Amino acid sequence: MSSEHLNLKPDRMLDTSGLSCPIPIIRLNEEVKCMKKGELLEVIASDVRTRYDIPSWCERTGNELVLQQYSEKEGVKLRYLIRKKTDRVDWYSEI
Amino acid sequence: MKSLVIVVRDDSYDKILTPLAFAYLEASEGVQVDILFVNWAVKALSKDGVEQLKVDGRHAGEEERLRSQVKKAGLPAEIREIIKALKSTGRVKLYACSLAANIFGVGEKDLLPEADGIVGASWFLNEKAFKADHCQYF
Repeated sequence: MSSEHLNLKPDRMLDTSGLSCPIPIIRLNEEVKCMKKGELLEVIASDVRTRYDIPSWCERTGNELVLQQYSEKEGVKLRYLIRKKTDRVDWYSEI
Repeated sequence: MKSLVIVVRDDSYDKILTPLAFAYLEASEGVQVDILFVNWAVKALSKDGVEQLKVDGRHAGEEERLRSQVKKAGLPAEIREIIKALKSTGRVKLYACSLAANIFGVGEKDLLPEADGIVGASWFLNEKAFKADHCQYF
């Protein structure tokens, strides 16, 4: 991880702490629809399955997973930085 | 995938959760989801039936804990509220199977306002299932 990534300032934040699959991804879809191309979203999660779900979602939808962090201090906490790479809002229907 | 068809046959609270959660996930990603409620599940599309959904048989004693866990996961604990959330995506259609509606006593006037009507199996298979990119049966 480069220091460049640590200093990135997100444009929006989505806290999915306490929520379980598939709700974090549903909330992620809703949040990204409100974003502009190039904006950066910070996602906080406690569901460890998001370690697989979010990278997979980014790969499939063409958005960039800039940063993924995992911490067990004060409970499981995962942090993701995702850059919206397209103006599309419906990942399937416009492909 | 642009379209998903789901066929649901059970009307117990626990067995209807998964298809509705899958539908919610896919609809949030822009997929058109068409759900056909067949057999006992047709009751879940009625005003009275949706309020009476219970956890099935041997797991009945765990209903309170299950509903609590569903809420904790982030879904509404009531099926009616999940159905409203599905409709709020604008990408989910909920159909009652006409054969099931006849057998299990659900008429047009009994349907939830979120339901998209009673349809024949033939129409649903021809217009939705055969044209869908993916079908799931629960």
